[in-house]
Amino acid sequence: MTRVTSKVCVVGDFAVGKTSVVERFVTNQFSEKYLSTVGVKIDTKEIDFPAPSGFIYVADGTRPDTLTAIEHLHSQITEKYGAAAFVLLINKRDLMHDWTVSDEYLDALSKSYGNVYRTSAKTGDDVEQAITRLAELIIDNDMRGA
Amino acid sequence: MDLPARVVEYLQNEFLAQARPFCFLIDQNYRLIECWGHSEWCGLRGIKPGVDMREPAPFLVGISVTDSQRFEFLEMPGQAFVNAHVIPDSGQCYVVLLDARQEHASTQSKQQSVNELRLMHARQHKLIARQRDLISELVETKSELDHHRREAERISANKSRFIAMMSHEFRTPLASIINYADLAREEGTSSNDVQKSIETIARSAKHLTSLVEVVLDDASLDAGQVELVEHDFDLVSLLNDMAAMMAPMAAEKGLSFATYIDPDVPNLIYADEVRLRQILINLMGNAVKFTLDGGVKLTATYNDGRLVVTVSDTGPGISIEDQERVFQAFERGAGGRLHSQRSHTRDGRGRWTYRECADTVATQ
Repeated sequence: MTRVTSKVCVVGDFAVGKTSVVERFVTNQFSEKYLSTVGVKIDTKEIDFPAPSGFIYVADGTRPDTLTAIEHLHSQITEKYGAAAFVLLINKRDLMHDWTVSDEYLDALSKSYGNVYRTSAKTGDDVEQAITRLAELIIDNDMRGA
Repeated sequence: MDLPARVVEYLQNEFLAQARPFCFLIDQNYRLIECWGHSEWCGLRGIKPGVDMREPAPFLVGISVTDSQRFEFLEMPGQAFVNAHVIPDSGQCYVVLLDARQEHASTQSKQQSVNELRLMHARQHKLIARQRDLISELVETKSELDHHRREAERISANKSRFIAMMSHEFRTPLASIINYADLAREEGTSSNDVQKSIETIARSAKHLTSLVEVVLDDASLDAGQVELVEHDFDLVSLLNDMAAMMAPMAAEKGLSFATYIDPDVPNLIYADEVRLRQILINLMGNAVKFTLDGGVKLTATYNDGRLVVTVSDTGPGISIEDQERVFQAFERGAGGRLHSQRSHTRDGRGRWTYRECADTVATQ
C-alpha cells in the first residue's frame, strides 16, 4: 500500500468539541476541561487509507446556532475549494437529553449533506466511524479524480 | 534619518532575545538543506540535512513552497506556539519560526474568557426560554383550572336549583295526600268522597314514588351505576295505565288527553319496565305541567322492529339551543321546563340507549 500523507481540516463554531473529537480519534482520550484553541493545532495519526484532503465539520447538538454556522462554513469552503470530501459530526451525543435540534431537522440534514454522525468525543461514540468514513470518501474522490 | 548603528544593534538584540528565531532552508521536496538558530524551544532539535521537514513540522504538508505565506500561532511539537513565515527563494524556501508562546498564552486567555462568557450567555438564553415555556404552561393550567372551577360552580348551582325545585315537586303531592287523608277521616264524609280521596292519595303516592325514582336515577346515572333490568312485560297495559294516571291530571287543568296505540304495537316487549314507566311519567308530567291550553297526546307506533313512543302537547316546546342540553343532568330549558329525566327508546337488540328519542322529545 502506498503511504500518502493527507491534511484534514476540522471546522466548526467555538466550543463544539473540535479539539476533543481529534483528541479522541488520535489518542483515544477526553478531557472534561474546556480549553479554547487559538491558532492552528496539528495532530497526526496514521490510518490505513491513502488520501488527499477533506473536511470534518463539527457542530454541537445542544446549540442549534452551531449547525447554522456549519451551513455557512460549508458554502464558503465549497466555493473556495470545490466539492471536497467531508463528514458532519453533531457532537455531544452524551448530552442528547439537552439537544434542542429536532430529529426531523437532523434527518433533513442527513438527506441534504449525507454522512451525518451523532458523535460523542466524551464516550467516543461514532468518532472513529465518522473519520474512517471520511477517509473512504477521500479515496473515492481521489480515484474519480485519477 | 538613519538610525545609529548602536540603536539598530540594540533593537536587533532585543528582537532576537524575544522572538528566538529559528530558520531552516528546504528544497522543493521539503528536504532540509540547512538551518540557523536554536531549535530546542520549538521542538525541532536534532534535525539533520536531508530530512523531510513535513515529519517534524507537519504544518508544511500541503503548503506550497513557491508562495510567501505566514501562519500565526502554529502549534509545534512540545506545545510550542510559533509564528511561521514561509519565504521562497530561487527554487528553495526559507522557513522562519518566531517564538509566539507568550503572545499565544495571552490571546488564549482572553479568547477563553470570551468563549466562556458566550457559552454562559447561550445557557442563560436556553434557561430563559425554558422559563417562558414553563410560565406558558402554568398560565394554561391556571386557565384550565379556572374553567373547571367555573364548571363545578355551575353544576353546584344547578344542583341547588334542582334540589329547590324537587322540594316543590315533593310538597305538592304530599300536601294532596295530607289533605285528602284529613278529608277521608272527617266525620260526615260520604263513602263516595272517601273512595275518591283514597284514589287521589294513591295517585299522589305513585307520583311521589316516581319522583324519588327520578332523583335516584339521576344520581345513579351521574355515578355511571345504572343497570337496566329487562324482562318481558305487557306494553299496551303499561301505556293504558299511564293514560289512566295522567288523564285526571290533564282534566284538572282543563286539558284534553288522548291516547293512540297503533295496532302493530306488540303486547309483549323485552325491556326495563320501571325505566320506561319513569320516562313516560316525566314526559307526560312535564307535558301536562307546561301546557296551558289545548291538550296532551300519547302515541305508540311500531315500524321495522322499532317502537316509537311519542308524547306531544300544545305547550311552549323546547328551543333549539335547549334541545342540546336536554340530556344533561339538572338542566332546565330557558322556559323553566325540567329535562333532568333521561328519555329512552329501544333498539332492535333489546338494549335501551339514550338520545335516540331526542327527536321525539323535540316534537313536544
